[in-house]
Amino acid sequence: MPVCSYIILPREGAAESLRASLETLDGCEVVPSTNSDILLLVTDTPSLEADTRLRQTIEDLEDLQLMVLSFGEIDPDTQDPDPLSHSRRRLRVLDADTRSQSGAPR
Amino acid sequence: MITVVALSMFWIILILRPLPDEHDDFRSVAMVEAPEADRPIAAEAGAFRDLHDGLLNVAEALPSPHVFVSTRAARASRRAYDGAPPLIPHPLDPLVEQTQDCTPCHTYGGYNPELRTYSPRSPHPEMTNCMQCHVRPIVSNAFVPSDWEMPALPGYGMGGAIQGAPPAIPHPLQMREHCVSCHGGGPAAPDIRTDHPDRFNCRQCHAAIEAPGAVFSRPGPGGSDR
Amino acid sequence: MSVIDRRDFVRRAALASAAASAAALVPGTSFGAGLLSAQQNIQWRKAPCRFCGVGCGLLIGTSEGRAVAVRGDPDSPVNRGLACVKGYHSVQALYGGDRILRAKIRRNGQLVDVPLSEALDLVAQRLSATIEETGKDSVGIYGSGQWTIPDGYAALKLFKGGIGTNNVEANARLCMASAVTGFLSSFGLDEPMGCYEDIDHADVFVLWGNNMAEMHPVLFSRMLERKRQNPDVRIIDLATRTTRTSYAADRSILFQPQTDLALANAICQEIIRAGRMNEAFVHDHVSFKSGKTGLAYGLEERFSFADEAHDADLAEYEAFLEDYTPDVVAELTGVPADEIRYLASLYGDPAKNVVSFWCMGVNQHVRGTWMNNLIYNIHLLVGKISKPGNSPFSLTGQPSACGTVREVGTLTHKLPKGTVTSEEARATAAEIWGVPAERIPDRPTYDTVQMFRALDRGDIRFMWIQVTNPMVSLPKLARYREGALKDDRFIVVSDVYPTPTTDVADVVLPSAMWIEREGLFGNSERRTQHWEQMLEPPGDCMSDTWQIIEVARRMGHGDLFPWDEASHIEEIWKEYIQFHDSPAHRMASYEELKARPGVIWPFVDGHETQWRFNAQYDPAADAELGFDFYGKPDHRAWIWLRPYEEAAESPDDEFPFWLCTGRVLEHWHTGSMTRRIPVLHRAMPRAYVEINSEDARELGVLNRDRVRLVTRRGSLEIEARVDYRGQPARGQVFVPFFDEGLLINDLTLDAFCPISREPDYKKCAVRVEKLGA
Repeated sequence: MPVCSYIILPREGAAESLRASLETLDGCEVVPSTNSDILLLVTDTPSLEADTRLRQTIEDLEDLQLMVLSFGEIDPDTQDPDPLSHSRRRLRVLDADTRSQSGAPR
Repeated sequence: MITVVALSMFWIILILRPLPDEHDDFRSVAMVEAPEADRPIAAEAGAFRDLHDGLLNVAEALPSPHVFVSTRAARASRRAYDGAPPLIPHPLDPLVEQTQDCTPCHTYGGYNPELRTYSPRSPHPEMTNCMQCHVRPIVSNAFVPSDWEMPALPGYGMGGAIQGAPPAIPHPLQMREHCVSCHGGGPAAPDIRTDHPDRFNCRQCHAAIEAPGAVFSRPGPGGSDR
Repeated sequence: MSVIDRRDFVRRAALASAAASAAALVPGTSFGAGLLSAQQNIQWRKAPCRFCGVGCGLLIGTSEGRAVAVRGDPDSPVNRGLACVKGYHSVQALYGGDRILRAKIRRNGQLVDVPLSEALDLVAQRLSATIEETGKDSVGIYGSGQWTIPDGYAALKLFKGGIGTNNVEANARLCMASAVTGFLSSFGLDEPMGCYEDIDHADVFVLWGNNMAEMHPVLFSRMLERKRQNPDVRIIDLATRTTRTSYAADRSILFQPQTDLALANAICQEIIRAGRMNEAFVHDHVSFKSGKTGLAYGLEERFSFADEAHDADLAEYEAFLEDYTPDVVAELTGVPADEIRYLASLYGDPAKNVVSFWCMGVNQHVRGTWMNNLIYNIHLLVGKISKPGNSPFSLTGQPSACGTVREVGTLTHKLPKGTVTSEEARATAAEIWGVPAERIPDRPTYDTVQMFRALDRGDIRFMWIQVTNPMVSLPKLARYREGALKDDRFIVVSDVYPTPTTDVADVVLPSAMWIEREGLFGNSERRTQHWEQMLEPPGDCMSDTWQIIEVARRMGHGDLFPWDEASHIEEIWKEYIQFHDSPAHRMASYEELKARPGVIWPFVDGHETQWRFNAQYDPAADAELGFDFYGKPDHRAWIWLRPYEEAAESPDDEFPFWLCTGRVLEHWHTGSMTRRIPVLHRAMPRAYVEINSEDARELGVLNRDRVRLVTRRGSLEIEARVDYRGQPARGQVFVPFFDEGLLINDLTLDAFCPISREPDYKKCAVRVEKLGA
């Protein structure tokens, strides 16, 4: 049940259309800056897999220039009796990340 | 012992830096070091390290897109409990394995294009025998299953009893005296990243809790009455 | 926390995190209403911080009749949106569980709740009866630099203009009196010539015995910001003890206690020797004076002393300084001669702007007035004064030590304008107050320490104590506690929480605190700040101003206070500023103060005077002179020939350590407010004695061992800390004074500066004994 937040920079002049695209996606909450093009995005998805899919979808958006993860909580619903379980998941994510360094964007 | 010596040398160099010689009239004067030579108190001195290193602007511009940025959860995944030395989460170059020299990437941290991520800064770069405490796991299974329970992480905004008030420091300061290492700039996990890394006197606003949960009560019997 | 709550919380944390990160990456980015949902229904209004003399502008958030949040006021030129841990949590000081909500009268040894009117009746009746029985000089009022301006004004008007006694004092005597006498003797007018903006123009900061990182953190951060933007900036920490400030400074120089007098003279000697004196400035704007020497220490009962100024000249001054060459002074101070030359080079470099900061290290000093004079001497010799970035700057410890005690003049010798010894000043006050001039006595009575000695002797029988806690803060405390407890002494205490001072009270009046009433404070940079009442006072709590007015009316002095409760603060301000209606001190109007985040006086024709005595900025200065030190009859600033003299009590074989006392970041003064703020108490739950690690080793004392401190006045068992926060030099120990359970002031000495009458809390002799486990 991951909740993540991102800082998003749209391509020049595409702030409005990017915002519109993001708002159509399930599990996305968008907060635009009042004085710049920056958008804040909070994603709330039912599973790690859905989170990965959503992120992929966003990354494929034409209007996206830059997307930086700011916050990630994999399982906010529980006190997490064994935090290492999600830690291990996160480790795998990280390792996958670092291994794929020469490949295509994730 | 080596570490201890290295630590004190570092601090002596840090605190007793030579006097500037911009005064022509006085350049002939042989300057001596200040009379104090005791170990500085790391928790007090640590936060000001960047000020003395001339590393005055720690906020970095973001590099290219698709950067993996660490998070509080990811940080937790590398520690057995809050305050434990983190594991090394990335493959090591054989040369590094040999020299055990992590300082090129971790003294100041910064963006690492090869790993497409930020190298975190060490809060104690004067300690260079890194693998004394930090190890690289090479298998993911356990020897036998462990009943170890990881205590809950310090909460967000602990002590921030008032909305918008600066949170208290939810962890001990030992080995973590240099706040900006973990809380400032690109290498910092954004969910614990400060938006004001340029203010050095951190404990001006963020109290270090000595007695968690303590409630003040007046000494002696009888309260306000004698 | 339910699952839904928790999820919502995490989502909000995620959003807040992203917003914070974005703001860090792109400064100035804002996200408007999307982030404010949780903040709806909060009303934000400005108030100066309740605590120290920096006077940060805060925005106080209130909701449904309670204070709920604090922000630094981004519009305040003092702090520009930043506060410190005390300021951010200050509103929690309103909600301590043992808040005094009802008036109390002592009956059969116990304080019992009574209706407020009954208590006020009793106060007025006892005040009148005491005056009748033992004379008007047997009653007194003792307030503080936390009195709002209207509080202090009402107290002064009742006691000096109504009752006709000069028994009005305030705890600022323990704090800023040496700064006042320093200003008066060097310049003829009180309060700094510069302002905080000096920080933004300075190249060198010299901190004289001043742990700014903990005591004036917001100004300290402003100084670090100046250094961050200008890495050539140098911060020099001159101190007797290594502190957080020392670690942040570029250079930490330790000197032996009391020898700062010699150090300052040596800097002047070296400036002149090296040809760095600003001859034109000294020729045009400076006079030389010598005063009495071989002074006493105020330890005698009924002490009296008056300094005299004798003309001197540059040649005499140079001859006087011959005793203070760096090489000679090095031995006395423990500061290597080269360091002294380095300091002189910083002060003397014509290309560098220099700000000196000091506070209690210089003021709480048996030669505190002299020490203030000597720092001015340095700045005057090199002409670095009254210009942006060139400023000898005396910092203040309390939020309105300047605004109330110094400007209103709640001290025995003072009136709002001038001193009681001046016929003209008495006439002015009598006219504004509408009382006969004869009613204001022409002689000062007791300074604070002597006022409490008089209470002990029985010369004073009635004392009203407001907003201060002398039963923790007086030096040589045991004597004064016993004095206050004597049978025929009547003590009234107005406060918000029970303290050791309410413990000795016969009547306790519940006070409305800070934003529970309307008020005004004046900070260290001559900035007056107004706040409106934001909350209803709890229980029967009433502002100190209105308590005084209620008692005055009961005593038949109601004609002095013909105001109603709704507008009395405004009326008091309008009456009070008549005293200061000249270009040298004009104050902003009530309306102006309500609208702005503070206004610096002199406020003339809509302009703040940021740098006094400089005709470029100060309309009161004579433009032809350029610099016009108009406080003195010769329109010059005075360089004083002030020698080094020993401390009142120095370590010896029996008591081999120096005892220094002071504050810590988390607690303010005696902790009666800050200890009731959970985060501050948890960060600093009790006092301790800081011991140098070498000394600790020799004593066999480990960190957290218990030790007994013994002086000629008393003893105290306390936990030892080694390398905890500060680090005293060898042969010295430090104890914070906030802890009412560990009263270090039972051990301190009540010696004081004979000119300012301010006690020296920083130096007496103590023995450290290790206690068994």
